[in-house]
Amino acid sequence: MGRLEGKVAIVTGSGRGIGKSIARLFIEEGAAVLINDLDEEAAQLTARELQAAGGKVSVVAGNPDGDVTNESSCLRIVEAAREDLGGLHILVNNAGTTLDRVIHKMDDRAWRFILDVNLKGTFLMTKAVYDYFKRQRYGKIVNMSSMAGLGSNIGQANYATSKSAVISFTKSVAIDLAPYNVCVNVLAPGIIDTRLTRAIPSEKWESVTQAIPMGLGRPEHVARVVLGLCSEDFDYVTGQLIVVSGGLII
Amino acid sequence: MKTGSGRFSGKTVLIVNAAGSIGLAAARLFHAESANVVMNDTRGEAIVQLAELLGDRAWATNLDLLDAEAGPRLVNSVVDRFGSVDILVCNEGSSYGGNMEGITAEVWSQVMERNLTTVFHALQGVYGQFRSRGRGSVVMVSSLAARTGCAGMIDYASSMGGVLGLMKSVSREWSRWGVTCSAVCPGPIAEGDQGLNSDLRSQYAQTQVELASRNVTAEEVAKVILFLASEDGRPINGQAINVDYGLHIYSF
Repeated sequence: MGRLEGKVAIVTGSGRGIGKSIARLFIEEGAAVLINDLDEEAAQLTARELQAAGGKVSVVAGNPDGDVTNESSCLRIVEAAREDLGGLHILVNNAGTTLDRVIHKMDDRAWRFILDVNLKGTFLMTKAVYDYFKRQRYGKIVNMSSMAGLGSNIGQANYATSKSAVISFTKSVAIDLAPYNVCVNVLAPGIIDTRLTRAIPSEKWESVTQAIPMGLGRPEHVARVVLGLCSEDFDYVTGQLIVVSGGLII
Repeated sequence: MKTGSGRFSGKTVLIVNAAGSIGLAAARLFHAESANVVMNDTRGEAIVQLAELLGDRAWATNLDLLDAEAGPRLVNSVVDRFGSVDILVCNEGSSYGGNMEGITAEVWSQVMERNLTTVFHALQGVYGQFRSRGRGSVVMVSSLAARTGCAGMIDYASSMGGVLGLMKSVSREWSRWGVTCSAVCPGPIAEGDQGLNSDLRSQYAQTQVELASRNVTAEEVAKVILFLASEDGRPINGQAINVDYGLHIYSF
């Protein structure tokens, strides 16, 4: 029997990368998964793959339906999970992106866009499940911070600000929801082989990846930790930051 | 006004979001240590009164830093008046919503704009000064709530966490040009307005303050800000310092 048998999960940004890997692993462990992505084609592709493997999925994707920065879209995503998949137990706030510029060259659009997607999106999705999880007296929320949320990087003031805020957000919500048996934790992945990190300039890529003691991370590395947090093994763990970086941060 | 050791003689300090209790305390102490002090805030009265009280070397301005162009405009006007900007202090923000039920999408965005985007614009404003002079100090006021989380002020705690990411970003990008950037994370302030309504303040007090021996004062926090901005504080860079009489130990 799978570790998430009978559970329903929303995984935002699950059209590709870490989110897709989480969705796949959740399906393998018996969960039904709502696939969400701003990129409709990527979301549908993920859904078809998982359905072909026997998974129960629903899709809310594209713009604006799949846009987590839009409050009514977030409410509809939650509604779709409950109606199409028969409940809701897990929310993984994985959707996120980068738009790198050094501070003095960063325009407001780049600043606000990243804060909206990475931070406000996490807030809005969390708010959308809040009452439901409270009344249910059960829920697992996993948020995605980043190594950059701990120490930043050159050119990532917007990203680092959003990702460090997600850590404080997680702790605050965890305090609030602990009496309701809802666990809220946050991951800080290191360098994982995804489209996002492949944006690192090629001349830097080798030195960056060679610095990782356990080698370049794969989406599955992160997905397995998310699975653990969402399983009953971690029912008594909340408000925690877990760094998944293959020894890059110790 | 009592005069200090003159540690900041010839330096100009720009304090943004200055009307909070820590901003006002920092303005007084920097001024007493011979600095030129510019206080910017759209929430007028307190900084205008303090500037009048301090007199010479103090100036209250009210540019709205939600506007990206206000950053450079503010810094240019300070340079016109005092010749330079040497230190930027970004004071604490406000909380509007409180718990999750109270935080609408609009409130969330307003808090992030007020507490984070204004700081971002202030940084863009001082960049040219700091870069061309090859020197500068930035001190940001975050909060212990950023590190411990705070259920009664989810919006505020999140924004203050963002301040820490922004602080480290400045440190990453500007250290090579001789600029240091650090932050203080005060515990609950004994006096003054943290933007909390009384319900939230008492909730925060009940859950956390009783564990510590006492509340920190705005002046005590300001003294640490002065240290970080001083010559002695230069080796401290990219760090967040808890100023809380040890309250953080109880929720590490």
